[in-house]
Amino acid sequence: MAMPDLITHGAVGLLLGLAWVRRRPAPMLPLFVAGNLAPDLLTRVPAILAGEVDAKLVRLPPVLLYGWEPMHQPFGAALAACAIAMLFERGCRGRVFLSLYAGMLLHFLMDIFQFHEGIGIMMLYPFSTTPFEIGLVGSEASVWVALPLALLAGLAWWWLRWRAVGSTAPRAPAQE
Amino acid sequence: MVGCLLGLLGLLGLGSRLSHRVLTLPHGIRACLADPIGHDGTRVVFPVWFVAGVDGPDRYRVSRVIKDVVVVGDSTGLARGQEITLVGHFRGRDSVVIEDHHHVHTLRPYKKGLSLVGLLLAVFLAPRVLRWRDGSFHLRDRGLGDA
Repeated sequence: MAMPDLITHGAVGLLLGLAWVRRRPAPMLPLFVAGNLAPDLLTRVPAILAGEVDAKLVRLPPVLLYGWEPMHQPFGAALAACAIAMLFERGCRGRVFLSLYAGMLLHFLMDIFQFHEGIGIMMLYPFSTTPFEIGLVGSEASVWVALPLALLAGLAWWWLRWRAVGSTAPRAPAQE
Repeated sequence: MVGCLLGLLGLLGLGSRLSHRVLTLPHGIRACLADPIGHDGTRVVFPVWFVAGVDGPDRYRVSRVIKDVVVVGDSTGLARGQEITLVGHFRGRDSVVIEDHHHVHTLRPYKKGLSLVGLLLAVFLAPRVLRWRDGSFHLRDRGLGDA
């Protein structure tokens, strides 16, 4: 299955996150960006590795080949976000879950704009197996925008950080 | 930790169920090959499969979870190792796929490269925003106001 690359996902997550928090302290911002990467990191990476092992070394049980996919669907992603949030210190788990899951939902929103010959994301699995896609752009279209987006996101990060530093730095005493 | 395990158990259940579904899809290529005559004319889609070999101007093979599915269709410009998305119909009498159309994913290697860079960046940056202490993750305050 195709999806935008991780650079595009990360850059869009960072840009939207920065637009949301602006100059406010944002300890959850990295988790929002991580949430936008997580569906691919949790499913594609292990599935590709398992596929290689299955093809070249030893036959693996089907669950190791296909069983990762629910984490690339909203319901399974919620379970994954919940499991990850429970690994955090008490008192911030709710915010961790919300930040991660908001990033994951942005990931799915980005993915469904791509065209996959009708084999989109089963957005309502396990309640429905109907695949869903809007199909406006090709599956490799993100390659052309990944680096400009990454550059833009990096510049936005440094600019907002520079402004935040400027506004919080202690002022020098006035000269008599 | 109990909540985490419950979440993982739920994911295992979902994964098992989805695996079973993939293996028993009534109209997938696996079902077509198991009962060729019964699936004659079935539409099949191969999203991002590898070209396993080109056997002539109108015949090639694709592989992924199933090896060497024979395709009858225009193989002009195809080469072993390329990734394509193929849409076709299954022909039961000789168990081949008659191609309707295919799309070569020429930019796929670049996309994989970008994703690898993204993965490495994520691994590199994770310790800068998280630390493990006393049995749980703690967020380092890397917000915009803490520079």
